Amino acid sequence: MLNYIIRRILLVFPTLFVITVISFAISRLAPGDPAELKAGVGSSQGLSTGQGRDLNEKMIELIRKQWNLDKPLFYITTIDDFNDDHPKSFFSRLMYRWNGTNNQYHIWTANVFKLDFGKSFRDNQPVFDKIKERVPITLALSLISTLLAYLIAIPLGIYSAVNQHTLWDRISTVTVFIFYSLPNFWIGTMLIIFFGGGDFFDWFPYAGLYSNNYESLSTMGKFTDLIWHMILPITVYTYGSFAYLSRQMRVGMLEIIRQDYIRTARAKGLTENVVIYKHALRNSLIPIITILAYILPAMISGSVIIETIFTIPGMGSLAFEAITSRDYPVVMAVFTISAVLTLIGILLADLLYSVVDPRITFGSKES
Amino acid sequence: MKRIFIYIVFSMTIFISTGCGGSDESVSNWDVDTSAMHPKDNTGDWIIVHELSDSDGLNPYTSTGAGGTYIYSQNIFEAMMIQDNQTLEYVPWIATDQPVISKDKLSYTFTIRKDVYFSDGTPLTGKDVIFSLKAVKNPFTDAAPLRNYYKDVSKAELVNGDLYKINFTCSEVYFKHDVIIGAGISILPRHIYDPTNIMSSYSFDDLEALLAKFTDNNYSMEQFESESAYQFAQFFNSHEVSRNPVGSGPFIFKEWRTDDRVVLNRSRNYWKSSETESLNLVDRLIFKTVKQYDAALTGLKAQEIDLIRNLPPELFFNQTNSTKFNKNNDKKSFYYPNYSYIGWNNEHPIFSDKRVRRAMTHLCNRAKIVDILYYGEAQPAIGNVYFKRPEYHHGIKPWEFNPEKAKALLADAGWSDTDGDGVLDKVINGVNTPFSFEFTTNQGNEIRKKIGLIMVEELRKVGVAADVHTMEWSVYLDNVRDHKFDAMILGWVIGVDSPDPYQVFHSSQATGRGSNSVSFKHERADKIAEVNRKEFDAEKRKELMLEFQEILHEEQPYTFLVCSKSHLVHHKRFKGIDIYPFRPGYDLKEWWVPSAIQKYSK
Repeated sequence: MLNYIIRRILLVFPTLFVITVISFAISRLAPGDPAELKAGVGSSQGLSTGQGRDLNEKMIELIRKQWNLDKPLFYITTIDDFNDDHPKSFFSRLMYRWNGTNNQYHIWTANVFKLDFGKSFRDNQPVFDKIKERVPITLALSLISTLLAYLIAIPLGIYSAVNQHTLWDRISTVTVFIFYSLPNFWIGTMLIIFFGGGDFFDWFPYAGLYSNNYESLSTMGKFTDLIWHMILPITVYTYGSFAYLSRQMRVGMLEIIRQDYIRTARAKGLTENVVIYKHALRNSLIPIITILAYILPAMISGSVIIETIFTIPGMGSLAFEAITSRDYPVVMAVFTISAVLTLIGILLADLLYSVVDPRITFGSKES
Repeated sequence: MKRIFIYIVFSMTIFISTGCGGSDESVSNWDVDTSAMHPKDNTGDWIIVHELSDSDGLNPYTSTGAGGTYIYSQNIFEAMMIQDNQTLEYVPWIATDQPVISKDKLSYTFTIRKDVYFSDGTPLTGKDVIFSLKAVKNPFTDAAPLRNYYKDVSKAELVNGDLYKINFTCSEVYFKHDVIIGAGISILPRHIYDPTNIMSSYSFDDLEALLAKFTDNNYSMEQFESESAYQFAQFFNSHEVSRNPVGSGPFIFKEWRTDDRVVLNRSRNYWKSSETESLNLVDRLIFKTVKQYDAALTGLKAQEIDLIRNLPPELFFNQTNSTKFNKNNDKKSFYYPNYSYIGWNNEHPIFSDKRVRRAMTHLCNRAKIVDILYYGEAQPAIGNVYFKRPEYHHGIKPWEFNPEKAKALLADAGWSDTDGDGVLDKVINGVNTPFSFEFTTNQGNEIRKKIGLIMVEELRKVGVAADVHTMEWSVYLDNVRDHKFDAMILGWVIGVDSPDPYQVFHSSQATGRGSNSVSFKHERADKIAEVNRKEFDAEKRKELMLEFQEILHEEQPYTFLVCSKSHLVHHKRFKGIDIYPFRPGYDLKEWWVPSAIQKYSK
């Protein structure tokens, strides 16, 4: 077992290397230029004295230089040395130039080892601080909503399985699937318009996490204010996952209660409650637990749509805005962190398998 | 996806609001007789202003986002001159008078007031003005776009050591230099933005030399790290500096919570307060970020937000009609200097012929566009000049919507359907080319996309195959600047001051990723643009601009579409509101609330 864990952890590093190289390449090679966006060209006519032919060009070049974007991307650059007169084979045509360590990827990686993700192109704030500011908010929202989703969906799934084909089973199935099919951006906007104090009911705040008078509230007041602001976003976060979870639970449960040992338990004369909650539930939880492990990266990545609709300063909106504005340092930091969490999540899931199900082992068979 | 979603939201809300609106009494509590009141006796209350996104910083030189400008400009930072809201002329503010301009038009001398103080009590002097220009000129600060504007302002110095008299030297004659210097330089307190006084050891020539060295590709970034101007820039560019602005304006920065709000408090001893009755009256400005207009409008209806500017027309016309809304809020619309256009790539084999460009304009149904997309609230544009400027050419009538004329022009230019496939064609450079092309515009701008669709429909009827292609903003910008488009739909927000067409229409700007993305090249137009820049007589400039508009009208490098209105909604308790014909359209310094109906207190 220990052997297995060590092997798996060692495997994380090459995987991570490949992931960062690929995401680095994708983010840099995507069209669009952050320096150009920074220069704000094309947005207003303004007071320009543009008199040189290459003024804009030069200006953008300087910004690129300041951000190290003028350096080569990677350790090697390929040069397509194609010559019609002397056709060569595909491989011999490709020439490589060695750039040494003075390349963008190397500089980035070297800094990441020092836990320095660089500074955001947008406002020069260190990326690490930016993320530190937002993770607690996203984490709070996703923890609460995951907890709620499980608390509601698991009993619902059990209930549907035990009372299969009853009216209740059908109603709950239809309801959760209706929820599942309603897009969250639409539900979010509807909730704001109807319950945010517009033309209808003034029950909840329309957006954000804090009231206008937040700072003058007592500690208790601040806490309730925060909870009050979180109700609508959490609702939107949660409702969609009912269907998936409760269906998983229902299927798992249905499979288990047809097993021989359940029949045996019933035959022994155990009460129905003991049969379901003691014997069946534990075994049917296995798929649910593995889903839980995969949730780890999703926990901090947040939701772009919900965070934008409710103006919540979380990771989702940070990542989205960074991508649209080509804020490479932030994009790379978000990619890397979610890659690490995904790898940890997968590792945990695999380990949990063997914990809950003794039939699965990873150690080499003892001879 | 977004479009569908907006439709659904609309149809739902319209359906429901017609069903159960009007339960509120329609009497407004906010209509107070203010005739006997003095604004000065009614200070207090807050204004909660909606912002669509979090600002990228509150440093007037390093923050490029437009959002921040409305927060700090004139509220925190001030300049020597200011644009008068009524006359649109530039008038002295921190300066005592208009600048004295030398005979050769290269030297400008400003005298500034001696009673101006920064919010920390330090007096504002010419040294602060000079420092501010140096901060822009320092090649390592994040002020590259601005540095471009100040390229020709080569030097600033105190006149005979007088702390309140500054002389600026320019290397080029340009009629806007008084405005660029006077109104463009936000004055920063040197002792805060450069506490160790690094920049005073650099002359303007030193900075110029540094820039030249920096531009030289033989020098890499690392070689400058020991330079103290570089170290100053590191501090000046930093997040901490742009998050803690200090200036001389009527408001003092209090707090910034990321993606939530920026709070400014009223300055208790603002230097100009004593001079006028109605200035700087509310206690606090809160700039509240709400990333979606639907939510912001709900916030306004819930009386949690006081002001939304630039509301999209579909919300402004459809979502602001309930009794509850009108009980508490006012709506206002105003024209601001802007125009939208279809830019034809003048180097494209099809559009290099001006008859074809004009035919395209004849196929543009502006009336329909104004009616459907702008709810009737827009004005046809004929050229590059704002219609409220004296330079606007009233004699030009926009080319009318007339498919017959368009057909004739296309036939005249040699386009006909020779192969009978329903699409016009013509032999260009020996190749039989069908008349088919693509309109490009940016994603997320529904109006631009629909303009494209309306055009496509009209073009189809005369045998032109066109298509609309949208792309993400930064990709679109890239393509436009690389001239990689057939036709593009875009808009310019222009200045409310004297027009200068050089940047957008001079042929020199068609290369090097300049703003003349359509490659408009016209000898006479170039000449006019050049002469205009050096002409200090407003009357003569007017003559030049009239001729320029005639050329644009004749050549149609763009199909000029419309000048649109900006819409704003605000709470009714505010008094003293004037609406001005440029963005943002209001001046928060003037707003006040009668004491009896104030909502927030400190």
